[in-house]
Amino acid sequence: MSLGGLKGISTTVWVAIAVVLLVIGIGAGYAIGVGTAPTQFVTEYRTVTATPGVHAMVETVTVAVTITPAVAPQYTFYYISHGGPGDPWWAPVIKGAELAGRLLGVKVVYLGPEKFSVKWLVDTLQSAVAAKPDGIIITVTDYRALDDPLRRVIAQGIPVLAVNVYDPRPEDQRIPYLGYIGQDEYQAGYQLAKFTISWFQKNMGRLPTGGVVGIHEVGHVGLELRAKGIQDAFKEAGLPVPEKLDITTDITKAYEILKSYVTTRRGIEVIFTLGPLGAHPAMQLVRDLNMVGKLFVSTVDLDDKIIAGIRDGVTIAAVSQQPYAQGFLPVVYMYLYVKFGIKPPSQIPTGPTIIDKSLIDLVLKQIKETGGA
Amino acid sequence: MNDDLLVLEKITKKFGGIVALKDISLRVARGEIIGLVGDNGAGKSTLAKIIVGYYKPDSGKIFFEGREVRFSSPQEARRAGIEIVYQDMALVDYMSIYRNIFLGREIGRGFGPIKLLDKKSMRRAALNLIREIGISDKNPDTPVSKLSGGERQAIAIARAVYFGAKLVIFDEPTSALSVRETQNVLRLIRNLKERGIASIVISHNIHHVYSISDRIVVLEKGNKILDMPRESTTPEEIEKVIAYGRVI
Amino acid sequence: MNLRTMYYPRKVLGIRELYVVLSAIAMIILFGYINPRFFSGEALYSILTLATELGIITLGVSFLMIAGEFDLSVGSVYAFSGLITIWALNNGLSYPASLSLSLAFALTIGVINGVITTYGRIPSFITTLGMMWLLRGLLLAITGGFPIGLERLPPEMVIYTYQVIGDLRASSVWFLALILILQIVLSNTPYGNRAQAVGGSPGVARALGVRVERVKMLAFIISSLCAAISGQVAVARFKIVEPTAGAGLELEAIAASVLGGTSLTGGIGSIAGAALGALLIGIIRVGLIFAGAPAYWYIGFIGFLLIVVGVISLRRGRTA
Repeated sequence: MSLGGLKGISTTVWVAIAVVLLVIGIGAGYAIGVGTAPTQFVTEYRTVTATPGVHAMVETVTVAVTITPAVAPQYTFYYISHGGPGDPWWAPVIKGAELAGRLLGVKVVYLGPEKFSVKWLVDTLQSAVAAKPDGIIITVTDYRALDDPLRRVIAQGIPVLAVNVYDPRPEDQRIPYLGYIGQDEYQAGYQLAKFTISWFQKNMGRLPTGGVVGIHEVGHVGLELRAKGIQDAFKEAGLPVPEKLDITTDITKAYEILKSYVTTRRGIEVIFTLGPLGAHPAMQLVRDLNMVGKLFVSTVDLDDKIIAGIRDGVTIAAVSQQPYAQGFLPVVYMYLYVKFGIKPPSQIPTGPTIIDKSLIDLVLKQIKETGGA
Repeated sequence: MNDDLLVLEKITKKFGGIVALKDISLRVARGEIIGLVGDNGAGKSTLAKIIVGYYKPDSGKIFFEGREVRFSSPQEARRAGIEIVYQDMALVDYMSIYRNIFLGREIGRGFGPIKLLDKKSMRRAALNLIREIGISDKNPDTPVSKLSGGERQAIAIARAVYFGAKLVIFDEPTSALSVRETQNVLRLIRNLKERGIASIVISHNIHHVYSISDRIVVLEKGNKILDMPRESTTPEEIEKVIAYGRVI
Repeated sequence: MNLRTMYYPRKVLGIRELYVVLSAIAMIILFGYINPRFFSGEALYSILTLATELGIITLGVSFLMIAGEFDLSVGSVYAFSGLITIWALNNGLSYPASLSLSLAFALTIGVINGVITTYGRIPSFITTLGMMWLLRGLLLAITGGFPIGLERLPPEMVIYTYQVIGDLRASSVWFLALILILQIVLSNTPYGNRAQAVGGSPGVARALGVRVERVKMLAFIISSLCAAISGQVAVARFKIVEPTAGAGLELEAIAASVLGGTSLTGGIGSIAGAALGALLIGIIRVGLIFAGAPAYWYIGFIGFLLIVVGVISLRRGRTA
């Protein structure tokens, strides 16, 4: 074996040495650099006395060479989300958070995983906390895994805001975060399905004969809740419960899977999808099968393709939870809390808003301005 | 008769429809060096593999030390005292000398499944072996890759001796070696003779083989076409036999 | 007996593991410079927590790689064995019983992987890839897509979560113990000697009578068992198993092994190196968070490092 001299066991001594070096490195670094104070450029007001009898003139002088408007951030917030940088739905969230940070002079660090993972969430939370931020905004994607870690964070005195997913337990049992900003996922699915059912009654004079739910990320709690909402709404209306279909995040596969399902089953009139990753192949399918007006799509979340679909009658409705708000608002509320001691309300909904033909123009504006809706 | 270490009686081996060996009979006495030669495809390797228990003959008998044997694996043959030294597959490049020597037969201390390597003993034994074969400037922890071709052959031979081989088969021992290294290896094989260890040397190089063998055996397409003491023939004659495929 | 010839004085510089240590130190200095808070006890514990869970799996993966085979199913075994534990506990079984079930499961998977690869002569890459998907599919089907939660945490599981000093957990101690055990097995037992030989030169090993199939089989078992142990630590920490748990861990473990000096062609590598590789990955992950770097930098970073290490190790050639 390469490491070590005399016996193989000494290789482990090397591990011990490495760990010791790590600790020494940490100690040395700590001694060398603690936080540096930010330099500021300010305008000073100097009084210049003129000849007696004449009013004293006040002269403004800049002490430094230039005046820079930017001030070093007074706070650092970590925004930890289960939505990774590759997910288009989260792009407006990131932009919203960044704008809020810029406006308020706060540093917002957005963290998301390469792929959905609760373990990543917990690990990253603990690492972020070690950096001693002024506030943590986090998606409470699984309250069981996050219960212990978040309680500890809160006990340390770091304020926590939940966003996009919350702890569903009653107030006295749930994780004591300051508040939740976002929509209720179950409601999103439920309201969407109810809207779809009543749309059928209004426009076709009857109830839909059946539907299917295409889920593109099995195991994703948010998506699963939406699916459950949809299924429950159908059950309440006495309709056959839509089956949950794993359509994967690959558009080609999703298309084929939906196609075989819809063409081999009778009575499927609505394809419910839970995000653009499902909506796009579904809408394409309806067009390719020439079933516009006979087969419909209802989906959660929006983008311009989906809006075009609403206009063309391919899509009945889409649920918007207004992601930009989910990026912007938490930063604002955290700032208000940290700087002014203003306690946020326990629930700040950003949705669900059901967008059908009548609300298209409003939504278009949101998309134009924020990049999403 | 009693001197015979190994006796092969009418060994036949077929692979599918091809006859690799036909009725091969051979005697090897203790301490005798046999040069086994022949053109490509003659069956030399197959015969070697049968002797070491890698293959089983389709018909014929093998006697070792007077008793009939039927080896089911090279390990069994090795336990009986038959070893084979492959030209390119004798040692593990990236492992040290002592680990290579004791691979598969490690010296350990302990009981049952909990056995720890007795590195001290292995190193000492390896060092002794290294001295004996004349590469004493190396020590037992040297990775084998740092040795020359000849030194590696020497280690492989020393390993066979250490573990009490009575018959060692060499598969092309000198083909990749320099002149000096070749002489060293041939010397080592001759040393085996002095210890009473028999050898079968398979080689394409008639001259190398001729210089150390007691007897020469020529195989041709699975048949034994020549088997005579060295003194009764010359390298040139042997070459002719191999080239023509029969005794002239 | 001359002591100097008996104990080959090894050159300290130029060994594979040194690169990891140097990289680790370089990373620490880099991240510490960017955010001095990185030099803190909390950061260290965060790194160790991450490194422990990845590291335990990496040890097993590395051992098997040294024996010449790959195990891509470790992520799925990690998740599935965790599921078995939760299921057993929720159904009233004691923790020792639940643990035994999970380990028995892992052992079985190791045996199956081993048998198919060595006796079926299928490349381990394929065998374990299939096993990875098979188990993952089963996991998704059984859970229906929802994470399965532990109803109550048995007191015995504190053996993983017990806080030794500050935030340092007992699981890291287990990690250290495993490093020790596997290192001893690898370099101080006959089995370890044979495993090293079998990994890079199976032909030679076989010619010398080593039971190549059995050696590899045991290595597969070690790999799966390590995955299951890491799964236990995860269950103790998160109290849930999500259907996608562990996906991608197998590649991270292989990356950590390679960073730590284990060769992809087998035979060469060390357990300590593997542990250091996992530690290095932990340092990078946490360091990037402290530096406030964009989320996707992590994977780019690791990839870059892997290529560099790969090139260096290739140029150094196959020597221990």
